[in-house]
Amino acid sequence: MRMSLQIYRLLCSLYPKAYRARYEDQIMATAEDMLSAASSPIVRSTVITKLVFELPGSIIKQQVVAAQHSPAGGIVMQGDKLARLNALLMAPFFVLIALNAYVRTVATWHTVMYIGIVVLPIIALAVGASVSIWVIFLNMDRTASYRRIPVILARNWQIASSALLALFIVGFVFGHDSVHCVTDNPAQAAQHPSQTLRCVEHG
Amino acid sequence: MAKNFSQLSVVAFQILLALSLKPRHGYEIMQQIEEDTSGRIKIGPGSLYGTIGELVEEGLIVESSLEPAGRRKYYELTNKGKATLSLELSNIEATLKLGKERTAGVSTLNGAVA
Repeated sequence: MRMSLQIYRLLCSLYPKAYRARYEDQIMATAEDMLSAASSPIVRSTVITKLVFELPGSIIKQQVVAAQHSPAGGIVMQGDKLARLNALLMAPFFVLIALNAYVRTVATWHTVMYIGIVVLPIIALAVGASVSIWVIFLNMDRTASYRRIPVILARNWQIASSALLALFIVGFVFGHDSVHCVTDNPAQAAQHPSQTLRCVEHG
Repeated sequence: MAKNFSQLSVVAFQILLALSLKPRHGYEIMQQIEEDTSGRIKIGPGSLYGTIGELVEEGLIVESSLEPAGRRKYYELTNKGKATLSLELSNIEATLKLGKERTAGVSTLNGAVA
């Protein structure tokens, strides 16, 4: 039960700061009461499932409310954290490219190359683009002009620039003529390591 | 002025109704709602405190002066909350009366057709 409550508390940390300060303790106390009233482990599991599944909708609603009350958008703090996550996702790209320039055997780490150069930047692009769109959506009201979008993005420059950088990387990777070296099926590449190496060397 | 009928959600109405008897904390409100609606409406803590927050902001309920039970704070109706609940109940009563009259007319008509 203690672990379930810890997970629940962790999820509650996604509520806006002001909302948490006011209601988190009460929400936790109510969740504890619900779990204490559960008569059997099966009922307790059902209660935990209901508690966890009920939370995301409420969190999104409170985030939207917080964003509407804040001129810069309530999701800015989370956007900042997500920008850092994006930086971590894109870091392997630069490390692998740099390593590949000096250590040719790096090209034979096909799966690592594939993940670092293709998969992670695509994830970073998805995160950056979706959060940027979300921030725009939260900060636009019915009367707002589209000219406000650059202002909103400038206020949330961390996540917006991480999305742009990810877009540049993905564009570069798929536009480069040696892209097939890393986008080939990793299983096939593992079967033909010499061919993969040659591909990178000649790319 | 009391909150308009159309602006009060089902959950908000049930919370006001649960608090009409006495001040309660979150879990007690949830239990009362479940009892009042024969289990048709079950709400979790997330939705409950979201709506409680809205009701506090609207001035329909306040934190009670009762000693909190640990981290559990008690809430009670304000005069505005009582007026809103009363207005809501009158509206429901009027709607119910109208609905009964109309469906009675429909049954009579159906009986005549048959």
